Amino acid sequence: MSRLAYFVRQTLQAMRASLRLQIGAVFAIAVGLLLVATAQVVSNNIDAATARWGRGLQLTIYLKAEATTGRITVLKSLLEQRKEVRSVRFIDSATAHQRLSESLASNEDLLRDIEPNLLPPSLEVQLVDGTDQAKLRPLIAVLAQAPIVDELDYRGHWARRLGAIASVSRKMGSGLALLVALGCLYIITSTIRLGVYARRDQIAIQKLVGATDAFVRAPFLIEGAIQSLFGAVLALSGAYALFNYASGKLSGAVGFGIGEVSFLSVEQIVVGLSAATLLGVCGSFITVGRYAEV
Amino acid sequence: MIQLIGITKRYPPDTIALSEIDLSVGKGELVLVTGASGAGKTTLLRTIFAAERPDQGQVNIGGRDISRLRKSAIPYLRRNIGVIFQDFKLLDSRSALDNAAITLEIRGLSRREVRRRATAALESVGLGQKIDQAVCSMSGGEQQRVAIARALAGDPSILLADEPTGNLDPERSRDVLQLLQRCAQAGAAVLIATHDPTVMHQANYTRLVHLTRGTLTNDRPGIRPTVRLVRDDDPPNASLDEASR
Ligand SMILES: Nc1ncnc2c1ncn2[C@@H]1O[C@H](COP(=O)(O)OP(=O)(O)OP(=O)(O)O)[C@@H](O)[C@H]1O
Ligand SMILES: [Mg+2]
Repeated sequence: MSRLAYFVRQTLQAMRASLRLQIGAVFAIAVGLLLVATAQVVSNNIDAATARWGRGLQLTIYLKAEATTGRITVLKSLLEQRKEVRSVRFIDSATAHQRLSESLASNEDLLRDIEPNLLPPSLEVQLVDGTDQAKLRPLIAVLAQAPIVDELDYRGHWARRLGAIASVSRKMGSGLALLVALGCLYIITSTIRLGVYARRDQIAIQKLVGATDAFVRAPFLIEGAIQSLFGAVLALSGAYALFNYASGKLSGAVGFGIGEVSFLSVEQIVVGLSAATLLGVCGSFITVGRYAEV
Repeated sequence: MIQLIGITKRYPPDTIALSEIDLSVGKGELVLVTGASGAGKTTLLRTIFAAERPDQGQVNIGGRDISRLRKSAIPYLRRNIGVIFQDFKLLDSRSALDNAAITLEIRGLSRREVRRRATAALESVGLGQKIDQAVCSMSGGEQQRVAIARALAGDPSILLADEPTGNLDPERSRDVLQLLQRCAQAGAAVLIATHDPTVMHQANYTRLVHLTRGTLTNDRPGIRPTVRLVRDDDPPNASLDEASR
């Protein structure tokens, strides 16, 4: 423990001597990792939206205002007999209005001018799991004929599109992460190399008086770890600030429909910080081995 | 403690720095190596702490052939050898205390113990008042004494001093030699390389050897041999054992 404290002191002392370089390195690493973190947040949310919309496969049938209760009941029971349908629920104008006002919450005054019965009544059809668009086609054809049906909204269609976007964004995210990792490795090895060069006399003296390779190496490994850890913390803070700003803007502009957006999970943060630190230690290890011949 | 057998060291293209050197220094002995500049004194000392690998011959430290040590064992060998370098090899921007502390820090002593022993070593060379002064702001003689303090701080069983009095006035020089003699009396094997005739007069050595262009030309016992407190056949140092295991 006192050993570690000693090495940390040595490292900080050495880092202070090249403070500008260190800050530059940390910021460069932070910018790279900010890109990765942001991409991950976006990808997270696309995944979540896909899951949300894919799971509750749902068909919403907006009905014409003049549809009578009798005809609606007939349509409802017809739907309930079909094998691709799990359940059907009738939402009248008042319920639709109430739901909308709930989802708008603080922006309720937007609704002031909308009369409750202006929103169309609808039938919400929960579909059996595994129902895709192809299986749904006959039902949709039937519904299109029904005189009381105004419009159909099939969310599964969106889920599929989102799924495609999500997989592309995941691939791009991995590619980006790899590029950024290489960039960070380059920054770390460069600064460590400069550090080894600046301290080459000290290293030579330490070795002459009995320092082991591990003793010479330790401060550099800590330096690499500190650089990348600080860079990662800075990147995460930046990504969080960006996330707060963007999610505020989004909910202000859209208000409803996008569902809950979320930041990185605790696991992702822990994994990210550890990976970055490990990257720093590895980069440093390679460099010291090469340039200090330990 | 130190045993050199037939040591030859060449430097390309055609310098023969050491030629067939046989020399042994036991515990409690203080041996003086004299010789003109370029005679090979520094090279001789460097073979002892494995900074130089001889082309021929064998270096035994504490009964062990150091050419057979694994690379990873060399640091542990060096921890038992205090070296006063001819060019000091100090960290100029750091304080005297930081410099004297290095060998102790390397051994992983506690912070307090490092400070205590490094301070004591600096006090023993008369620098007790200057422990926090940066080495680069010290005089040549003060720097030399910091180098000596660093070598002594770890209580080594072997002490190699390369021109330890090169920058000192005669009075300081005598103090330093007395310090080295005390180390020998306490059981260390001490080897001093010098071309300074005053050292030959001031030092209380057990043997004096003379190097001429890499060859030992004169090996005579000291006029006033120091009292041998420890026998040569004492078991080698424990930590050396540890290192070669
Ligand atoms: N690394 C080296 N490469 C080539 N030649 C060397 C090297 N080190 C020493 N020499 C040569 O070996 C010879 C002995 O050098 P050494 O430093 O041992 O002399 P010295 O007796 O310590 O001299 P001085 O009293 O000036 O310190 C010299 O001729 C020197 O030029
Ligand atoms: Mg020399």
